[in-house]
Amino acid sequence: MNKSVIVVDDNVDTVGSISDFLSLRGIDILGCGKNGFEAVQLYEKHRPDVVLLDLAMPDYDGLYGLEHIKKINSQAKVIILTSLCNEYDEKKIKLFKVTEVLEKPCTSKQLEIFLKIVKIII
Amino acid sequence: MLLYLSQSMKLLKPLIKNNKLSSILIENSPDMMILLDEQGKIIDCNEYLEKNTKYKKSELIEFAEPINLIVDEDRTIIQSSFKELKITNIIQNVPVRVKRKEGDSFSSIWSGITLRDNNNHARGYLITGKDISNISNLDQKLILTKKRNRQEKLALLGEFSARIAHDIRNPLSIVLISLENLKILYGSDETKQKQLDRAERSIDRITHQIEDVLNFVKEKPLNLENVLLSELLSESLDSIKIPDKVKIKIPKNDILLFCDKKQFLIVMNNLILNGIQAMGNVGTIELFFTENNDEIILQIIDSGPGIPNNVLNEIFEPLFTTKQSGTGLGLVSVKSIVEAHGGTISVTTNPTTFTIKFLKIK
Repeated sequence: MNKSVIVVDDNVDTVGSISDFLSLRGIDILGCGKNGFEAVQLYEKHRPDVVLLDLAMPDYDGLYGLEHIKKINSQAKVIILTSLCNEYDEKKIKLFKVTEVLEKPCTSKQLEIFLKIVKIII
Repeated sequence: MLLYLSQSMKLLKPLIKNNKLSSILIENSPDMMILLDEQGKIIDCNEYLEKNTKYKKSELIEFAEPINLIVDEDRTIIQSSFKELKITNIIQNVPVRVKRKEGDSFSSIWSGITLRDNNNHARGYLITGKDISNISNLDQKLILTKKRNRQEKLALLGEFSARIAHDIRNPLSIVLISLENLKILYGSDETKQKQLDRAERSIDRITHQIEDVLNFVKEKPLNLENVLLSELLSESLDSIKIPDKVKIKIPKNDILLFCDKKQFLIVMNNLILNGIQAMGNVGTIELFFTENNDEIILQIIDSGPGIPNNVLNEIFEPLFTTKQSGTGLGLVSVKSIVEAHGGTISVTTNPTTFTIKFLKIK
């Protein structure tokens, strides 16, 4: 059976490109969301192997999503995929035992590392 | 005082007919005034000079020559100006610093005229000086204000570029990932693949430039921990695309360094990338970790053509670059991170060797 993820980011193109990137490599995309609230709903519904979660999102941010997903399943694997992680976020993220924090890949090398990490975690 | 002055003003008599008037003028002048004889010795001065220099008139006359009132470094100016005065009969606005009795000094400008008698013989010199310390202080203040404005502007510019750089990362990431997707979907033959590779290399280049700017403008407090240099190096090499024809020689020994890991990765990445680019993607980069009783030393040597001597001193200057695609910020960030850790960085050429030294914490 294929491994599965949900992808949550407020930018529809980010969600689209990452979903395609993973599905072209044999990973099932069970759902896509645009804020922390949707992330929690999608997690509850699909129970994916991994959640890919952005941090800065309007209304309900990634920290909200992270906190509530961990309430549903403290062992849930969550990869924070962000372009900006300030110290406040870093401290909060550590509280929830997040699986990995990655910067959005912007070089081919970073993309390679991203895929490697996702595969290891799944 | 007036009487004393008027007596010595005998010298001026043939030149200034109204003795009393000249005395009043001199005593009430807002300028410092000195009267010199033919040899250039002080024979009189006004009260303002006494007040300003804190010397008594008798002391000033003992000084004999005005040059003794001038700070050492400005004495040649006065000597040459006096020579000029003898020839031209008038000099104006010579800037020098005058020493007070207490040892402090003030900025001033001086003018002088030669006093001649009816037979046109030089009989002495009248020298007048303006204390311009208020103006100089104002100048200093102006310079400080300008400096502060510049710093504020730079800080704002830093924040602004950080925001732009960050905002660009998001769409850039999308372009890159979509490009990778296109490769799988359509990059079936070599010609198509080549187009996509080219676009990908360009994105890599933009990203590296943005990272340079971000590293430069980001002010981050140090988050210190013990890190093995080998670990740092392997993490760095993992994040860099090493061209096929570049060989990296890794040290066999290992040293524990107390540093901010994230920031030190920037140092490693920049120096290795710098080496790769300097060698034109072909050659060997060798790293050495050494330590003695006092220091930890890290060296990175590349087999490139070396750095021309005339630019050697400039390579750590902001915005200096010899590369067409360089930002001129990479090595500046390296230097500031090393220095924030209390270390030093230096460079020598033939072969190009960057040496970073840290004092051991005892």
